[in-house]
Amino acid sequence: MATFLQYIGRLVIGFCSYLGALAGLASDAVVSMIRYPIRWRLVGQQILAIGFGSQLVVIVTGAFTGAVFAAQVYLKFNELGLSSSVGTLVSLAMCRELGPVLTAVMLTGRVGAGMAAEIGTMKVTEQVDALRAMAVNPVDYLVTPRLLAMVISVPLLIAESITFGILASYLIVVKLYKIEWAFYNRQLVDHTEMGDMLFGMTKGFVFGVCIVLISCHQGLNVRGGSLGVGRATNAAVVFSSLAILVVNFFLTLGLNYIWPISN
Amino acid sequence: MSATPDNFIEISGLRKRLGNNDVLQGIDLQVKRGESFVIIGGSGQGKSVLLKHLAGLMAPDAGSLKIDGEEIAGLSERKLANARRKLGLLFQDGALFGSLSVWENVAFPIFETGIKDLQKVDALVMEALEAVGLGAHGDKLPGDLSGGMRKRAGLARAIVTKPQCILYDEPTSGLDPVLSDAIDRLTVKIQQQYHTTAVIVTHNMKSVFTVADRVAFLRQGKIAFLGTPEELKQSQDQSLHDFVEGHSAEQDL
Repeated sequence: MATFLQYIGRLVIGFCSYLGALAGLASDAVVSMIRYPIRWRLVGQQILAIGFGSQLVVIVTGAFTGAVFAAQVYLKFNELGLSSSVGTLVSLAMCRELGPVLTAVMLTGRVGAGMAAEIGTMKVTEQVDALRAMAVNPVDYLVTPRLLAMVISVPLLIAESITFGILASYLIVVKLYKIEWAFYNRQLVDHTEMGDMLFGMTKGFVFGVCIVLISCHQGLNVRGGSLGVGRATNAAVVFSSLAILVVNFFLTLGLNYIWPISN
Repeated sequence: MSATPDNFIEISGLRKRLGNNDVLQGIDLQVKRGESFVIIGGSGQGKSVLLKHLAGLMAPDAGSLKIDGEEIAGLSERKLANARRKLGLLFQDGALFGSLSVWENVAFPIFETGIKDLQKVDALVMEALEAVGLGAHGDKLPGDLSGGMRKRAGLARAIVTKPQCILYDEPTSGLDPVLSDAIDRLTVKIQQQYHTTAVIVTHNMKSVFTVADRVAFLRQGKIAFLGTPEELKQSQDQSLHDFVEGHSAEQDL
């Protein structure tokens, strides 16, 4: 029993100390943004890598999530005589939950893993120490540009994913299952507001911060050569994905006060 | 210990523990301005750890470390920047940025000083690349260079801002004897050309006798010998003698 409690205690202490390290990195990045020059060229490069580089992932995630969700909802709603409401449900689900969460999880795999691997490799090949030796703070050079690029890019990518999800649901419901376009459109427009899109984009902003902090922290703390880089990359994806799912729950509760679901 | 203008580096009572090992156990050392100071010692004796302390890349557990009269022990990462600008560091494998060309790697510290005039930057980069014999290789990526060329490119990056002191971490490790000699001679040439202080960590005894004004021998985290290369040759200390001559003892087998 004592051993079990010790194990739980160690887990809790480890988790709290990990959160403390992430908070430390976040605070360093905020200080870097406020007090030191921002390297806009690097921010631009990262936006290109994250934004353009993620187009396929974002479009496929959004479109197929919207399509499959529309198909499932239609088949059930049609039995209940509610088939004209499919557009509303798909649009709300895509804006508020499916679009932000699934896109962010996919970006974790593509972008977060890349960040942890790149920075981790720089760490084990002493490139991070080389930056420090040249009086360049690694947070200024490696973390801040990525953080800015993610908080700019992720909300836009999520908006794009939501848009493709709704377009795909239109194709499924209107073109495949032959629901009247006017019904579909009327329901969708009446029950979807700008607040729903902002709801998803705000989640994207927070998810972007989570992915960058967790991935950069893993990369900057790599130990043990290529094996360490592999572990850090794996941890970055797992921890970021879990963080997205947990943070999403609290965001949903909180953001519903700002942008409640319209009647 | 008070800072004197003659000493560029002053270390007093420096201690560092890593895991269960007391890697540095009270190091006292002064390196004079313009001096070529070599640190030797067996593997795992704390040479590279000591060099990383000089560059501010590791923080000591106890003791004092002054660079050009400024105490750097206990300074935050951002406050170390001033001392680091006075230093150039050559890493074992160069630590070049893999995504940048040799020219961009060498130009990197110049851009960081705020100089944006490309003609001026190019002149400084080419001067450093010519000094290390890589004038024709500026457009290559680090991955396309041999080990010796990577070290020379790393050296060009270390000297391009004309720091007051250059720290060398195993500059000849992994190189053949001819390339090792070339790097040693380059070290001497750069010191004469730029009037810098040099601190060199090495295993290579030939390097010691080519470049050193003074030598420190590190054993189990302490300085076991401090003197000139001539005094090193004449030392009666058995383990030091074995190290200089490259003899292994029975217990090393």
